[in-house]
Amino acid sequence: MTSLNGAAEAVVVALAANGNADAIDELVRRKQSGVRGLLRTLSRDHALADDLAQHVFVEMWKSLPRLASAGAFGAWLRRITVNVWLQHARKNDSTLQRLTDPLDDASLPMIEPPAPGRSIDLADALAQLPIPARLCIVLAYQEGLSHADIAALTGMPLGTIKSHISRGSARLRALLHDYRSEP
Amino acid sequence: MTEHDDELARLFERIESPALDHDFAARVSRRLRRKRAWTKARAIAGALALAVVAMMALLLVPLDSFYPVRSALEFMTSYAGMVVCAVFAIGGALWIKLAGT
Repeated sequence: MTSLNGAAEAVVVALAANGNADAIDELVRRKQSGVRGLLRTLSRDHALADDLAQHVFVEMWKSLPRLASAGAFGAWLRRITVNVWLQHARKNDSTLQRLTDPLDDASLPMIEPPAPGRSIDLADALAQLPIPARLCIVLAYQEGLSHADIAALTGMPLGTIKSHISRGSARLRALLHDYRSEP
Repeated sequence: MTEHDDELARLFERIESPALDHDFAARVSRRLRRKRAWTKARAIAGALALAVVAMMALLLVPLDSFYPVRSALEFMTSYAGMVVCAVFAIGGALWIKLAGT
């Protein structure tokens, strides 16, 4: 615990941007839950999500002196989080180069149905979506961002985002309906 | 949330955010402390390396190599050098003034 415990976020961000180690620790404490939560939903792997979250906070520390406005900190940190996850995703998926590539049916993966009798939960269903669609849906539903906010964050055209969310939601609904746990 | 599907929205609402994990915060803090120390060490090593290179240059490079610099400095501090500087300064000021009109 530090004396910054109850300080306004803008103050903590300004101190952290000036290299104050206690302020950076305080930001990590305040933001870790959101960052880890977003990465857990995107990656479905808690250990991996926590590793990536550490990387997010290292990137935050490196880039904070260049942050233009303390008020934009939340959106800025979310952008770092998404970029760190995309970098990781690109390492494992050579076909994922640019998010702005148009969506076609070929980009939808072949879905392997769960074993007979096994149900599927939201995390399982999300993992079946292509990465751009998964990202758009998680940002819209979990983070509560509008389509315009997602466009600003990811650089994808608005039409592509709408398409990802519409088709991804339909795919999620179908998966959850087909493998629902209820008898 | 007219842009969203209500059923999916309810499912996402059920996702629980991870609780505050002090171990995680401590791990990040340690990692940042190491990175800070490493950055500081690199800056100090860089400054030391520059100082060593400068000292080596002074000790090993023959003094004759510094002759043009030394003679230029001697000229600039002589009366003739000061006159030349003054003439250039006045000429430069006039040129800027004339070019601006």
